[in-house]
Amino acid sequence: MIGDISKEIECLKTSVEAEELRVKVFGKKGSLTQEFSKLKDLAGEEKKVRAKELNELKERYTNELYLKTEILKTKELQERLLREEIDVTLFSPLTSKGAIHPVNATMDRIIEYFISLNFGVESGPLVEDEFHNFEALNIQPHHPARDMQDTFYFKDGKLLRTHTSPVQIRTMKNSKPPIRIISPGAVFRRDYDLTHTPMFHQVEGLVVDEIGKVSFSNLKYILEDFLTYMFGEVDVRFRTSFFPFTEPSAEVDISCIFCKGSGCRVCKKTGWLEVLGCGIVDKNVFDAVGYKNVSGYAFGLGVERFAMLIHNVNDLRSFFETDTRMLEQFR
Amino acid sequence: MIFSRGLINEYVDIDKISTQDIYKKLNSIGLEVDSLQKYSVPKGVVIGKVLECKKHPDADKLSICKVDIKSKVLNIVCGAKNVREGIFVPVAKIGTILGENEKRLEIKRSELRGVESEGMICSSTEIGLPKIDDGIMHIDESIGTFEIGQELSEIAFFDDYIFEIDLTPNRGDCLNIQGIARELSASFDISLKSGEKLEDEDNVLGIGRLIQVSYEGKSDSSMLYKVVKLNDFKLPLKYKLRLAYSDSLEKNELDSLLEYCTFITGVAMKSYDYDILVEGKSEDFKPLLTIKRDKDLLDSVYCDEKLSVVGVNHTNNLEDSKNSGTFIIEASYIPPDIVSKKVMGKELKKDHKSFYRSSRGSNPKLVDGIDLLCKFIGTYSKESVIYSGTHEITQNYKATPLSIDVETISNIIGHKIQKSQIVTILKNLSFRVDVSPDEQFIAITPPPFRHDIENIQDVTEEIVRIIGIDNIKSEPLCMHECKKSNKTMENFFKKRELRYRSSAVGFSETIHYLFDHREKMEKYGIEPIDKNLEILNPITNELNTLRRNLALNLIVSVERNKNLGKKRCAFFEIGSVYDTNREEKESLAYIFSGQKEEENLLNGGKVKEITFFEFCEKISSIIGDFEIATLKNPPKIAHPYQAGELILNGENIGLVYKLHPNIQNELDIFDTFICEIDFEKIPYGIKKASVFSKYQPLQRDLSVVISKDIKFSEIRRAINSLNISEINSFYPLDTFTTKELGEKISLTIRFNMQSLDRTLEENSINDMTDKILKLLEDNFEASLR
Ligand SMILES: [Zn+2]
Repeated sequence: MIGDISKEIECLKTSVEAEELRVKVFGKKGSLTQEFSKLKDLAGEEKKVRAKELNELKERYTNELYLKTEILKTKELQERLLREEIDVTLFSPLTSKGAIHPVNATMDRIIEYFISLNFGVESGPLVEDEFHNFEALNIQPHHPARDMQDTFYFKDGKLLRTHTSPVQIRTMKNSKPPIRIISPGAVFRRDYDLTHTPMFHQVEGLVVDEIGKVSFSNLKYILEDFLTYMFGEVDVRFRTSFFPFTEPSAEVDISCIFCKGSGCRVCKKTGWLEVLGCGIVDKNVFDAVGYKNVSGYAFGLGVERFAMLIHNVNDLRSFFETDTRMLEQFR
Repeated sequence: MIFSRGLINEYVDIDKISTQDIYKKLNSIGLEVDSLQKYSVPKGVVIGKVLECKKHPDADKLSICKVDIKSKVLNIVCGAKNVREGIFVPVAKIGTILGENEKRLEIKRSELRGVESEGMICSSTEIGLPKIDDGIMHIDESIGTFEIGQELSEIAFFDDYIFEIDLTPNRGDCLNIQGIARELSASFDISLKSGEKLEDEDNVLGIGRLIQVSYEGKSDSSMLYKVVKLNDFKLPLKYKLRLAYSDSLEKNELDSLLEYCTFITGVAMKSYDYDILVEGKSEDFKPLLTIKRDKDLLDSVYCDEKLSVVGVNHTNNLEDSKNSGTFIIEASYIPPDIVSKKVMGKELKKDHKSFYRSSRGSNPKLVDGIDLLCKFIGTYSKESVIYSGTHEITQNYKATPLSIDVETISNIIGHKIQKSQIVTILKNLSFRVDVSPDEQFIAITPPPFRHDIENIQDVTEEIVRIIGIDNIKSEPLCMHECKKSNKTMENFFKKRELRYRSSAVGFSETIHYLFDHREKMEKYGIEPIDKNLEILNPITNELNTLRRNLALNLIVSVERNKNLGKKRCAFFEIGSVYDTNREEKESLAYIFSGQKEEENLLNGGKVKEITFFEFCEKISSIIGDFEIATLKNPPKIAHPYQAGELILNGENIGLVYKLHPNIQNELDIFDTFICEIDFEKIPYGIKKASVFSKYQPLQRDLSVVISKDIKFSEIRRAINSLNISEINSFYPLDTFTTKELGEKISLTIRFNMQSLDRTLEENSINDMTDKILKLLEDNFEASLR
């Protein structure tokens, strides 16, 4: 006989036991299967009754077993999941990531802006000559900038470029207008104190087209947009200034991004931060490269100054001293 | 330039203009305001009159004063030498707070050597003003009318704003008050004033009775001489304070007055002590001043000996205390470009202030300075005598007229500027303006003090300054397309990608100066750049040459960070380096020192130091697959047996090595690995796919016993030479040594095999491995393990 299978199902503890019971009852040699095979020994009404009875049992046990198995599986899954629990909050990002240098990151952002506006990128040697660094840029021999005090000279009369402007001269000499370029890179001045390092970085821009085309209005337009891209919504102020290679010249300020213009330590209580120099290219510069009947604008900025403002770094020298306490904040 | 609103108001009518508007306007016209502040005389400081002044019975240096401050007469003990009866002084009453922060001082009733003191007589610095005299400040009527007992801060003179402006080198014309006034007059369109009311001087006698002046040879300078005889001349307080704010106060009273006249008019002025020039000479001796060029071709003034170089220096200085006697006053002018060019590159004794002014352009209208001086002496020193007449030598500096047109100016600015506007602005700036009959062209002549105006762009700048850049519209520029793709642009993208990859692998980017230390390089076996191409004026000895590589700078950074307690340093840099001929190239370098990772949960706080192959793997995941070849001559800073050449696509692209243990010990740093690569040789750009097999790939490992001395690169070369196309790749999987193996090692090589046209069968695989084994046996005496 098949005994009390319902009871057995009731007592099942695991899904493995349930499978064993299934084989024991419904398998080829299972107790219920055997009962079915005995039907062939019966006949007539008796066979019919027994068959009906067995089919009812089969259906009942199948359902009961199925249900029990599902319950056990769910329970077992739940137990397994619980066993596998980990404290995900143990994660702490103290891994070994590297950081891109904030000065280079800033320079990249600047370059990307101008590339997106269809500017080309040009470069030139760091060891320059007096012609490209000074003369062609309308910086007279007696100009204070040419003092030995401020410029690194070499024994053969060459010098380390004091600005990226010589690239403008090289570009103009090697190509024809229209020109629309920026020249990013390292520059050198013989100066070392809290606010000066012997090497720093500049990005300069130059646009040249036929005479009467490039105006101060155009310069204003691009710089206002550029500064908004770099610093967000800021007020931009132009002040007339003086550079040997531009005329008219202007210095450009943005409203202080720390105090929003109300005056603080960074902006020396003025509410403004000086960020750029620019102007209409001086005729003497065009003469030096043999350009006639052209007009153009130029601008230049210090990358470290931008990086300090954008990333809130207050010691210029820390950029060049591999101070990981500062650098690794940029991971 | 530092000046007060009140001073400017003496020269231009700014009564109706707010200080804030002046501040904005100065900035906008190119006279950058560095600071704007108020006089800050503290409350509680009142004007007192010293009624009585007696020596303290028990202290030599102290005086006991009775000081009238109207409400009462105070008993004050004063330590200053210059206190005396009858003078007006600032008195800080009991309870007054002077100074701020660490200099904060509260005036309290006190007792000095047994005498009660009910306040303090103050010096100028004690009440927040610049230093003018030693001792207490004497107040005189030059600051305006005042009453005894009046709060000092309520007197109009001290209730004023102080501007400090930064001038660009082209604006020598604004190094004086009249220049600034002129700028404000033009930009606000307001009228100039003639300055404070001074009395006309009484002239007596003639200058010709005292000196003679003559020229010898060519000269660039204009000179104007006057002689005065002073009797106890004292510069009143107001002027001293104005000069002191500008840091221009001189020790000698007459020199201070000359400074003041220069400060107002921009005329360069000097004085000579007449008494010295005639000392020991006969009664009727007349000194002869001769102006001639010296050996440097600079205009100089001689009287037997050289007295001064025009615009550069001055040797005949007055004694600090001398304020009586006869003095020669000299006003001079030399064009700024001439004096700058002549002085350039020469080791001259330079009087900084004089040269600063002359090289930026002083006022050529010498009579302005002399007139002010005479009126001043006439007003404030009635006892003094001014000799009538002048000695004058004038050069004719011709101003070049310029022709300008409205269209060019409008084009530079970017929108239409009216001709009338241009004419008005230039006239207000003292330009001479003539309009052509057809009204197309304007002929202008800059005033003599505007040395910076040479062409139409300079004139446009004047227009832009005065109308204000804020009033110029912003307009986008439409341009033709022009070529953009070049090597620099490609390098920008390449560097950016390398940067991102490097930081993702765990290296932090550094920027070092382009410099290095020559002696250190020599010590480390790196040949510096050619001595004849070396830096002439390095900033420090440690930065006295250009770097040959990035490695040395990176090692310094590792050392510094190790000292800061870092157990792991991983840095990279992309930058220029130089060969011995000072040719520039770009280099990419990596350094890794110490622990291979930070201690954390994953490694349970136990971290090993990085090894050669782990370091190479990191580099490879940045720049791509490379092989490493042995080095015949490893650099001196490298570990001789852990150094190799990076080979990429058959080309040597750089070096990888462990830092020599001696250097590691010397610097006290952990195991350090360095890789320096030629930036140009790193491939960048488009990758091409090659044909790939669709058949089952198989792996076979071959283990052989082989001599220790065989480099894997030799094995690699040999297997490659078999040209078995079915071998996709192979690499060393494992090496080990045991005692039994002796001088040999066990080497397992893994082969990835796949055919393009069929599934590989067992026997063809066996054929291939047999072939390889035979090769290894024949060439390297290897045997199957
Ligand atoms: Zn601020």
